[in-house]
Amino acid sequence: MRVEKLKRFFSFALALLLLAGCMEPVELAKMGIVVGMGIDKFQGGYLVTLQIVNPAGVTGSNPNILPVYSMHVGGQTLLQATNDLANLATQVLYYSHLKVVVIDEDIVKDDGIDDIIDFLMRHPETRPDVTVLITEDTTASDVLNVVTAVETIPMGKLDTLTNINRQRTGMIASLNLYEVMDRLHTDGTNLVLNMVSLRAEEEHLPHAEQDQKNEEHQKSVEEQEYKLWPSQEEDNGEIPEGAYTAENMEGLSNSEAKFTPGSEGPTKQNKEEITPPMDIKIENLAVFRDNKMVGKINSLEAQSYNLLLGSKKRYWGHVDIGDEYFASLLITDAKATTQCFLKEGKASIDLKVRGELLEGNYPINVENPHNLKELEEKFVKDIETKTGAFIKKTQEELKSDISDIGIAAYFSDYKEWEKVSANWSEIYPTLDIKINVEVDIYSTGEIKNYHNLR
Amino acid sequence: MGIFKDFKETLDEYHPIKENSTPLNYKLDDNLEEIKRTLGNVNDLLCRELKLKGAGGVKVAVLGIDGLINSDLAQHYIIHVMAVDLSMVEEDSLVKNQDAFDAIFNSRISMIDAKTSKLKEDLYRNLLNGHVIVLVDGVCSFMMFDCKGWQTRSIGEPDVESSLRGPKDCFVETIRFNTATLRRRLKDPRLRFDTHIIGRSSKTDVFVAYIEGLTNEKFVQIANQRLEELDVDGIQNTAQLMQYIEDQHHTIIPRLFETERPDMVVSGMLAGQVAIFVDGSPFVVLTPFFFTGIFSTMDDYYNHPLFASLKRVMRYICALIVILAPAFYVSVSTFHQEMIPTAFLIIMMNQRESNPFSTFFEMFLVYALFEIMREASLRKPNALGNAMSIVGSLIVGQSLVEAGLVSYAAIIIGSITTLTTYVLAHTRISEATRILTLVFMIIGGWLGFYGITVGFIVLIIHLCSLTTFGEPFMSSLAPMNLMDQVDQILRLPLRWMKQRPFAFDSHNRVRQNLQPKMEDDTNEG
Repeated sequence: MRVEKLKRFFSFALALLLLAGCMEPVELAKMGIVVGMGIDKFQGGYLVTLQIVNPAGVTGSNPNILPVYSMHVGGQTLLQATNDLANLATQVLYYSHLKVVVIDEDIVKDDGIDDIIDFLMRHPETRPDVTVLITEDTTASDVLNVVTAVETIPMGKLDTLTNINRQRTGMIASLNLYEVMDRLHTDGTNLVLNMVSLRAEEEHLPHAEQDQKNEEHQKSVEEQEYKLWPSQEEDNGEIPEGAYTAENMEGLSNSEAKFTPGSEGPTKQNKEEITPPMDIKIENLAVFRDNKMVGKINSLEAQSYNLLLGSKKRYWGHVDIGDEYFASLLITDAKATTQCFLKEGKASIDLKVRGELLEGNYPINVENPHNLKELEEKFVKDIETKTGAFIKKTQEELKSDISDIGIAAYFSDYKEWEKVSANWSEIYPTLDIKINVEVDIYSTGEIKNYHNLR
Repeated sequence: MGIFKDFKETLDEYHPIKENSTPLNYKLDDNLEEIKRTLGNVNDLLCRELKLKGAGGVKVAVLGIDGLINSDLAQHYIIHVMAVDLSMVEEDSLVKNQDAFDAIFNSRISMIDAKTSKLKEDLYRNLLNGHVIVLVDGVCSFMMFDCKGWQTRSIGEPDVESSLRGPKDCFVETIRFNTATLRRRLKDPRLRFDTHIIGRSSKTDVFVAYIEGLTNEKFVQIANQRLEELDVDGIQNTAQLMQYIEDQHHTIIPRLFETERPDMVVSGMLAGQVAIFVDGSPFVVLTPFFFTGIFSTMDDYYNHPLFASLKRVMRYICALIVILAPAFYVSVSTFHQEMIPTAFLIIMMNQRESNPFSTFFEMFLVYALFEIMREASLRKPNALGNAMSIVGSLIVGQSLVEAGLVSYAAIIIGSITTLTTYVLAHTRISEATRILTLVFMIIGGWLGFYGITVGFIVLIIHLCSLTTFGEPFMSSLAPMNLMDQVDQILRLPLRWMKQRPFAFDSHNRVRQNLQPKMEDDTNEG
């Protein structure tokens, strides 16, 4: 018997070996590493922009070329576009090191994010740890064309912004491809993604003539067929030659002219000034209902969002006491217990928050437990107000359950949940949600009293 | 088969000495003439003819080979004694010649190693082996006295297997010194030497050494049988003998072990191994020899168990590095680029941008260069040492990279592989792994990780199929023996090694005194 089992095991093991893929050798020198992908709307299809690494530019062995170059092509489908790109590229495009995917907000508002996530997950080379971002008031190709100061690879900056800063501020929701798909296809919760926008110094903001140029450009785009490559833009004389290794990469065409970056954005000059004229930032978060984006929350609301999900990250709490005084709390630990009673139409979130007192000018002796208790209550009130406002916004304005209340409903009474899950987005706004907050200040720091203690 | 048969017959024709297993003649002159004819009037044959004064002028001849015998000894104790006075034989004795022979042999010449024989074969063999031969007229036998006095190398430090804590002596080219070295360390009366003379022309002494009652006879039998079957014209070294007597497999994995360390031989024999000594070679073969032996050194037993185990595990890992590192580099950079961290991948790409060759060819170039350097440094005259290192490391290494022929990564991988080769204690396994490096590099460049995985499985199956003196080569690992694991991949404290390794199948497996008191001690420890 055992021998039979062993034989069966080995035959399976050998079959596994035969099924192994990766049988196609590619020399390193002939590879183009794609680090960023931008997806814009384009004539009923997609405009795909790729950011590809220029190894000599990254390692600094050739200072005359930029660390990355980008190329773009429009297509009916994503596969068509990427295929056309592969046709145009002189290198074998390699998606395994793709870090960031930037999706235009128009796509997710109108068509939904489903198709794009589907393509990315199915692609044999992409990894599930790709960071997914939505643009805000700009296009994905513009975001991909900003040269950043610190990171040699611009998309590296976006990656850092989302994944490292998330652990320090609590104002960012960082989801990779796998988590995006997970949230997208789970009933009772909705997707929240970061929005990336361009931050420009005042004098570099687009002016009237720029707008005019955009209109002209828009025309030229419409005249062209699906393929925008090579997109020559002779009228844009501001961009110096040699900014991109690929000759035809100077012009950046936007399918819908919105916020076009200033001249320095995609050039090397951008990192030769102490304050870069053009930079990328993450401010707001895009809220989805099912497949489509329905609205935004700002970074303060994002804190409430992260608190209610109980992610153990750092947040700051701020409370004004009267007109004169304030106190700030660095929240290091948050625990949320969500419960939902569908029959009563009620839900409750118990939030336990621990933190350190960091800043403030409220003249009390914090060594006195009574005083500390008073302070804690003020924080409780503050957090309850903020999270309450946030929940109200999701119920009334966004009508999207992003605080996992549907999941809590499923766990408490799944039979009842099955009845309502189909039209959860209509039931969610009618729920009566209560938030109970507990605050525990476990440290007041080295200084025991405020300087102006009376 | 026919071809070999013919060959064997021709081999026989050119061996005149073989026909001489006949007794001597009675007449001294005939004998001398024949000896000189057989040896072809060689210029190093010393022949001193005497007439015994006290024995009625019996003619005597003393023979020896110049350079092989100690002339002082021969002069003082043989020729001097016979030339001065031998007045004890009666003048008119009918058998005076035989009496003279007996008198000389029994009561005159005071050499310790003395024998008589009648066969010509013995005469030639001993004459050419540093014995002094005394022939007496009218007697058909002869005397031989061991009077060896050739130049030998003094016992120095081991060259190949150096050790930090072990004894600093090693074997030399003279088999007698080697057996003496062994005797000095192993004063067991059960120590046995089975003698073989290998080679029709070379007549090399080969001894099979074992401890009776401890070593399993089947290994001794196999060794003796294979040595007896051996019919060659000559062997010069242990390494040649090893190729003749090891189990016949198509493999590059060494299945016999040669050492120049006496302590290694003693420890091996105490474990149950058979030692084979070859005259003219400072190496001794230990057999049977198993896979885990490849990765152990004598220093393991002299160091702290923890440290020794660390070193052993390191050697296993190093063997894997040697075999797989270049293959890994080639397949990762051509098949599995997703495994390299992005930042490093970009650096590698930048280096390879100006490189005209494929990664496999680049790695092969580095491998070939290092192999050439190894061979060159082995063959070069010692005086050229500095020039060699300058050319090797500075000019070739640096300028190769600067010329864009190979990338830094390939040089790094090549250097690490070559350096790691020297970690492997056993020179034979490090040579075998160099071949495996090349094999795996080719598979890796052709099929990627899939090929490496399949290749490694095949390698392990191959290792398991090997035998050494009839025993499985992977013994104590496959087939597994738990008791033996005290000294396989890890080297546990010596106190725990209470029994000889199961793999050597000794009849007397108790190695340490298993008295209760002793056991209590170890339990507490």
